[in-house]
Amino acid sequence: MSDAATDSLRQTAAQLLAEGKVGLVVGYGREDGTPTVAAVFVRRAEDAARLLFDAFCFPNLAVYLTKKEVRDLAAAPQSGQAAASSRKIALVVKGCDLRAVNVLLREHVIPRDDVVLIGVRCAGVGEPPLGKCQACGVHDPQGCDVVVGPPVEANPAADQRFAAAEAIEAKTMEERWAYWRRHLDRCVRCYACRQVCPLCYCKRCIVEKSTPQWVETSSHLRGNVAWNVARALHLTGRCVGCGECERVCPAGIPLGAINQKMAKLVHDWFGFESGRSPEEKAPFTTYAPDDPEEGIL
Amino acid sequence: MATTAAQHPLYQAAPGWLKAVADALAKAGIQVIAPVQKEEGIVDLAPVASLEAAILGNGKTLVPLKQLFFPETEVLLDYAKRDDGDVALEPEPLPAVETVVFGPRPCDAAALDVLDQVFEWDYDDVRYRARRAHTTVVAFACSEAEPECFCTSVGGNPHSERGSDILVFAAENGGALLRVVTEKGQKLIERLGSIVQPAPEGARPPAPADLAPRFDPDRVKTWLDANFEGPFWTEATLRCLGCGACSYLCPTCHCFDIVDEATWNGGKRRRNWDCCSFALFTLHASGHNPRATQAARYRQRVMHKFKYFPERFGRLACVGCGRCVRTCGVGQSLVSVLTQIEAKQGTGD
Amino acid sequence: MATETATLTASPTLIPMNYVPMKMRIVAITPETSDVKTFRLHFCDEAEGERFTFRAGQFGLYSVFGAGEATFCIASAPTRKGYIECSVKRAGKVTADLHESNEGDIIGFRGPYGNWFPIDAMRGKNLLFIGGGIGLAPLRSLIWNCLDLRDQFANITILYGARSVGDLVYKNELREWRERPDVQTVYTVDPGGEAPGWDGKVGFVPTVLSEMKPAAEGTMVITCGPPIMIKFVLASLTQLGFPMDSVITTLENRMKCGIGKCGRCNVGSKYVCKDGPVFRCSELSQLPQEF
Repeated sequence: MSDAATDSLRQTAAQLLAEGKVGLVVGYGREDGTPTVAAVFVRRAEDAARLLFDAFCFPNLAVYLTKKEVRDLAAAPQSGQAAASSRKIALVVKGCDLRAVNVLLREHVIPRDDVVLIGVRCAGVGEPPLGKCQACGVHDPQGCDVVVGPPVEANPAADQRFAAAEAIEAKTMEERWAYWRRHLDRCVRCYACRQVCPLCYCKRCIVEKSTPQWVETSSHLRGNVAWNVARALHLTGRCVGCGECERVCPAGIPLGAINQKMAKLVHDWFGFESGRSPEEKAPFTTYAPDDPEEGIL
Repeated sequence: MATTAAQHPLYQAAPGWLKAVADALAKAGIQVIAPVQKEEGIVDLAPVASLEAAILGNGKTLVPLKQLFFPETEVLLDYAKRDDGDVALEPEPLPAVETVVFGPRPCDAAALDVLDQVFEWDYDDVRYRARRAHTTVVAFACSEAEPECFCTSVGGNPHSERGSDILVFAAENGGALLRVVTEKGQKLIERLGSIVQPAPEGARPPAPADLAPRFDPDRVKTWLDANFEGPFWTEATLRCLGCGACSYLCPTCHCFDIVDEATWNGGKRRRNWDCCSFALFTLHASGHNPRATQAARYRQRVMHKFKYFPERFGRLACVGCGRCVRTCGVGQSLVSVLTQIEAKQGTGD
Repeated sequence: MATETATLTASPTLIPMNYVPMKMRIVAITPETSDVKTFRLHFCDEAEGERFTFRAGQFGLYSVFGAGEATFCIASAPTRKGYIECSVKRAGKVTADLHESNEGDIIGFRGPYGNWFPIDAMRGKNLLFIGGGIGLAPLRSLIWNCLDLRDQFANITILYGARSVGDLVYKNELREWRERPDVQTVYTVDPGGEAPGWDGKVGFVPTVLSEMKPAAEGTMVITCGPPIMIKFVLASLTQLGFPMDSVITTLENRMKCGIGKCGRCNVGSKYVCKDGPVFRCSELSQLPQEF
């Protein structure tokens, strides 16, 4: 992370906007005098200076591709114009964020032509770097339209990416239940995990369906377990391990471990890891005539 | 039960008083609740047998004091369907555990004044009232603010007595000065017997930490009165992803849902926290949604706290604790929105 | 800011609320349309039934145990004792369960909540009722209330329309009203909604209203129906010279507690469950348009 990445980002964004190639750039910025990095939405080339990249760029901005007001903003004419020059969105992505974009592309949430991907080479966010960064294998995002930032060394510890799940697997069943009971008891059902996840984009989430009420909305342990398990199941084979759910959980629940466990199962059983490319064939959404179908009688 | 400032007597307690207090209350069968460390970085209210491990210094709990009076989920009644077609309804017994809560910050206590307006208006919410009646609030004054705090922007301050029964000024040596604010607080003082003594003449609590206000709610309201429509609401809230974290951790937010949880022949009716930021909050069964965009929902949050609630109940529905700013994982800061609004009011924008 | 704490002694005028409903027995179910049924309810506790009073315009939270609570107006007239009625369109979980219920089933009822139609201000005036679809339900309570006190009002006119003949509710009562000499009735269905034998008008309610050219002088209008109908009805009324404070409507909004605490029906500094659901249209234009 260096000023070189920030400078390149700003130049790239300014050029894309000035040339009318995109209607909106979604990137990182630090405004309002707070130390928190958050998404900034830039529409004019002269505002590209709002963009930056550093070791605190935690958010996964891919989620904003699923927010209607952001898509509409890109397509809206700017003052003085009769029409928007382009409805495309340029999105600043770290390697982990890009994996989420790949899933959005393979699930046809946004056409590839509607998005310009500005990749950033990233050695990890957080000081010290987050757990996910220490096991990251995508420091250098592949498949972007532009990549900025100085080269980053390959990570020798990339095979540690299921460490959190393995740590819990090492516990006995009783220990595991005690562990999850302790954590899930604190869940307040704010759904920050769901709202921040780029891949939770259902117009009506299962917990919002009342006929029947599949998942209880009350924040007792039973309802909390049902909710968190349902979400993990619906992300199985899709979650890319960006860790945002765990980062934003106000109650400090180690949510990432649940998703990581499912990802490990999918890896072990189907040899598949989600988000490597937009062309990948995911195990639960791909039909092949020669599927073993062992479970079907 | 209103008392004037002159009738808020000051007591003092010697180092070790907290242990004596916990023992005395336990002996009297009174439940003690205090902030404790639950996980690394997570401090929250819980019943305790002793106050030794309680986290009573500066710093807010994860979930505010409101959880003791307006819990996240609460059974209202049980119902059972009989074979003859009748339905037996059993109201849930009212909470009746005598409780003293130590350690909420003055902002959390001040929020009770806001919640009282709603839960005791026209219809008296018997469950809320029962919890309020059985709980004594011993707030602890703040000697330092956290980075997100802004109580002085909304009429509060780190030494505010509002909402507390007793306000404690902890001394560095482990002792404390106690300001008795209400009759209920006085009753607790009497119960503590020799653990506390009237403070000597001339004893004074320390001056509150200096916390410069970040915005003027009156100027904010003036702008809100004139700017329901406008592109500001979308522009300023693009980051918001519509979760409920800020509302659920807010000391004054109180929206709720009522749901039935059915088993085969019976079930429970519960009251659960709900949030106006959720997309389905105002959705009609017909499909019509009066607040169909996140911008409209965020506007409701700001308007309700800084315009509608003050118009109705004469006080802001915000105590400036800053949990919303601290909690938001995507940097959608209410304080930032309010300062932007005040700036617009200043420039006539 | 006040440093005094709020008093915790209940004021004697506060009504204790524990959210436990009264038990009601379904004694009659009348299908009105393909998706609307009217339920007549008796109080399981007769003494409660005898004590129960309400005014036209008020609503309640009706519950199907296991499905939850939902808000409907009280559609029967307050002048008729011993029962209450609600008319329910099948739309979601509680309404679907209610539609599956049978005579003899027990449901819950909390109420009456909300304000009511200003019947005192209506005395001596001409009354023009304008209803659309199931919006006739709250009006029906008031219509029967007024007809039961007929000589207190001047001319009474009922303009009612629905998408199609099949969607008209209270069909028997529409006939009763039409046959009364002391009531003028105009019924209409949307273009394309006619059926063989339909002898009423064909046209959207606001259009028929304009054609009727009702006089504004000495008239109060009470209207309820889908938002789109209300919008155009108000436009027609304005053109016809009706001041908005003599036009009264009742709002539907998502509600849960019914008593101004849960926040769901908050519109501006009003709560539809406490300051409404009945509003003068002049009040409505002062509110943020979020309903």
